Amino acid sequence: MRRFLDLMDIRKFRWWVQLFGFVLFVYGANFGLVLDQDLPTFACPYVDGRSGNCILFVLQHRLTIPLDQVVTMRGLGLLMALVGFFIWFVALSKSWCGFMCPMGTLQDAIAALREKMGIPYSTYAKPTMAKLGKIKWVLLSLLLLIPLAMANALPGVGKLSHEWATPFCMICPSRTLLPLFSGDFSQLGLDLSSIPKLVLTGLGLLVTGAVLVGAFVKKRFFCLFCPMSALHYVFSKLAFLKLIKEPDKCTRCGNCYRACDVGIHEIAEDLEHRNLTTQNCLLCLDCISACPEEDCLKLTFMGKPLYRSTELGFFKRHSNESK
Amino acid sequence: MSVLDRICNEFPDNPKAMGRFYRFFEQRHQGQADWGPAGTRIGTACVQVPEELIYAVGATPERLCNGAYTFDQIGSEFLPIKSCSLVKATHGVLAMQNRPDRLPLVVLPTTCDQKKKSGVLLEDMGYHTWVMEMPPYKDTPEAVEYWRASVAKLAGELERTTGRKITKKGLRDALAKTQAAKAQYRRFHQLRKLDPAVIWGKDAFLVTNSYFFAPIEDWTDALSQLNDELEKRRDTGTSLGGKKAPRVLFTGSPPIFPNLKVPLMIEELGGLLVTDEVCSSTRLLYDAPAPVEEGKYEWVESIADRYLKPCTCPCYAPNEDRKRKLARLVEDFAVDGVIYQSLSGCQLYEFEQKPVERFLAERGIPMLYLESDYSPEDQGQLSTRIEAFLESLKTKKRKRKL
Amino acid sequence: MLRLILWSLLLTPWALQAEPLRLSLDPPGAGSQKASYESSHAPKMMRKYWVHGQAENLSAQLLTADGVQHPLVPVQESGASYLSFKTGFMDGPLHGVNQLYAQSRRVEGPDLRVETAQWYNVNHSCGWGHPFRAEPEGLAPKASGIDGLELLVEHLWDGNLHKSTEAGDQLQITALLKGKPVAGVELAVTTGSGWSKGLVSDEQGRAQVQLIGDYFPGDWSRFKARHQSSLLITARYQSLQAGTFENQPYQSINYQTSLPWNFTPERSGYQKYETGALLGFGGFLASGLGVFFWRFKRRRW
Repeated sequence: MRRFLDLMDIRKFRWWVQLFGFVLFVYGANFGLVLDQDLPTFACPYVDGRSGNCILFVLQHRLTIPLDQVVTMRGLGLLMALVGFFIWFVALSKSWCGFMCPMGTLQDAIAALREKMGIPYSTYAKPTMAKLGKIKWVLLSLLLLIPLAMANALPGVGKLSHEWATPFCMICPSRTLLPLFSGDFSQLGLDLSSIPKLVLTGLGLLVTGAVLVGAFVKKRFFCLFCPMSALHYVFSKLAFLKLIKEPDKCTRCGNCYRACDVGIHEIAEDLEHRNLTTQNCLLCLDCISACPEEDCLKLTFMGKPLYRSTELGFFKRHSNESK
Repeated sequence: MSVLDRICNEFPDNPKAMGRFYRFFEQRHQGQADWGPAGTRIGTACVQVPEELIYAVGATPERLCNGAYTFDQIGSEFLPIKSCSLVKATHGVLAMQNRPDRLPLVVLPTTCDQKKKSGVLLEDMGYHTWVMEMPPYKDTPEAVEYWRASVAKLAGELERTTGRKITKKGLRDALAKTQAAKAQYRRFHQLRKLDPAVIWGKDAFLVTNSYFFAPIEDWTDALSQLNDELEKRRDTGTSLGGKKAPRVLFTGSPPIFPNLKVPLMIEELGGLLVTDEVCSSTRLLYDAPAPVEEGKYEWVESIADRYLKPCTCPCYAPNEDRKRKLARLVEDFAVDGVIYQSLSGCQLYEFEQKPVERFLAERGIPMLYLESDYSPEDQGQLSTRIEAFLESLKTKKRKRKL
Repeated sequence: MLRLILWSLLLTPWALQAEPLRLSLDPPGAGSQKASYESSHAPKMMRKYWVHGQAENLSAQLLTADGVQHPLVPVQESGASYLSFKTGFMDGPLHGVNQLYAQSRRVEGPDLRVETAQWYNVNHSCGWGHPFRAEPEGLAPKASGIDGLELLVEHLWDGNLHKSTEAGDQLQITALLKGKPVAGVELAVTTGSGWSKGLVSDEQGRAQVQLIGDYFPGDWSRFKARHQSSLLITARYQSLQAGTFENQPYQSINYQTSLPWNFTPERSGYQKYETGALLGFGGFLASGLGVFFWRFKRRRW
């Protein structure tokens, strides 16, 4: 078992899990598969056949709550949503992103198309990554604050119009792209009914176009800005799954960085921290499968190693035998 | 008595599978001087030249670094007297053979100043040389880009020289060859960790040195046989050198056949060379690229990265990775002491001697620093110092056991 | 708006006799104000509905989604009656439709007038959490079997428990008499703007009508996608059945029923797929060209 895990090609395994996740979150309910409504992944509520709801949608919805009602049933509802999210999140941690997210799978498919076409992918330098990394926190704060401002009057400004409801969903490319897979093109509409709706849907459509291009040239482009990733990171210290690196064993060969779809520089360069479940990390485990050092990178579940880098596994996966 | 005789006949318990490696050297050093694989050969002057690209154009790399005193002396006529023996010998052998037709291209990475400048002199002799520009740092993104560009330019030059394009298929086959070699080397590396040891360090140096010129498939096959035999030794409990023998790590300027003066001396005086951190051995074969996509761009880039990022050559201004690598090796191989050799005139290794010694001292590992060259004159002085060092290691080891 | 409804009702020939009995959120006499409408998402511990029209021998009941009938006692307040019932967290089945009925009976001339006022709402508050997708069964009004004429309308809410009726929609109405489909019921669908359409139910008691758009604010900036237009469905049926009611004889029974509802402007009126897709494609093209030129500019080798 140990040997089988060490030698396995995690990338193939992951691709199959991803396809399963995609079918689950786009068509699941049609087969009667219903998980939950507070899922820590892009189970987009605009897709009819989804088998769950994205927590971000739920949060935006629930946060439209007057502050004086926080300690009532409504506040409890909000709390329960967070608890539900945490229960789903705690065991699998960020591997929701790497293994389950339908939007991630879609981007991976676009990247595979690019690979077939022989076009090189882009990478971002560390300072660029640091700058881009802030965007997801801005998006997360906005998606939490705008609903609050809809229910609570700001001094001098008053309440925000309800036309701003679920602001992140309106600009999220999952809303526009995922329903297409069940033949629903209605989300491509530009909503002219009010200025906020026009701004949000217009922005959403521009983002969609840009993300399609982005995912083509940069692997997992949207994941760099994803507020879900930020929300995950807030709770990731408490989650059971962790990506651990033994700095002593690292030769800084950079193979892990090459394998990383989001391009986390720290995975190869950081020699101080053991827990490298960083904010952009998808826990896709590609870095582990690309590491040639015995036990240097590993995925642990409550401290116990589940999958680790091995010399033997590395050379089996990278023997480059002609096909 | 030749060095090869000493290696083959003076030690007990040579593994049978070493015979194939001994023969590589017999053919090369006692038979035909240019013995090696058929076809176009590309001369490489340093460990940083990406061999995968050379295989991809259907040629074979031949590492030119030379260890013969005779050529050292010939080289002295062309190069400054204080240059290091390795550079002089390498230059000497090329000057003496003077057959630019045999090597259509000589690739020189700009590692140290001496190699850089001697490359220019080679050009005067009629050799077609190609200088691979190397960044003096390896950690900045600019350095990585610069080096990748340098590797890509080499790819272009290789295509021009051989008249063959680097194709996806060519790269895939090249990588298959080198990855197989490295996989075997990793196996070998692990077997050398065993305590008690199953192979002498001098044999290990022959294994890695023969990678310079032996046909890669033969080499891989021979090493695989050797590994099988060593595994049997491990299982049957055959061991070398006895339990008291101090386990020594060799680092510094590369010992290249036939200049195995210091390594041989260590083992003849009762030490055991369990591992090394030199560019003719571990640094040459340990690291392997891991391309994640199928494509020329990805393969060339990942190959470029493999020659830059994990490299611990002292030509990089800050070289913390070398210290970390040494610490790793010391721990993994249960090393008792480190022997650090600088070839006289090799400034880079001389510069790093002090910081490395301090680093090891902090971890309680004694280090012996030796300065030597290819001449046999300093043998007496060296052997006295090595013997004393090994004695102190033995005493320390005995005390630790008590 | 309310006046408009009244006027329009008065203008329909068969309704000339009197204003039908109906339920409203507003008390009678609040005439000049805009008719209130009910959000299915706002939490309410108690709901209260005023009875409009001529109410005599008023009786009332509530049918909850679990199929249980709850008799209600009308309350008199300042000359009008209202019905109220609890809609707190555990009052009744969650996320199911509540069907409220008020009935008035009186003998008028040769007729017994049995007037029914209906109201639909969903027992739901966002604070209780949303079901993953509301059960369609729970959201389909059920036949109550009430002694009178009853209207069932389909597809009034979407899976998220939002009222989902839009202009342009086909309203599917079924008329039941004492729980059984009945043909020949005269129906009228009247919107707040005064538009009205008469229908007659078929053998299965069914009738359908397409709602027109009646909301045109003129100025784009004043347009509200959530604008609620009011709607009143009324039904009338004459049954030649003689009898006595409270010692008064009658020759036939005149059944009348009303059901108020709201609808929003149609989505296709303000959502432009062509424009949207074009904008998305524009974003695609712009970023594609951007990336292309960026790469072209810094092509290294």
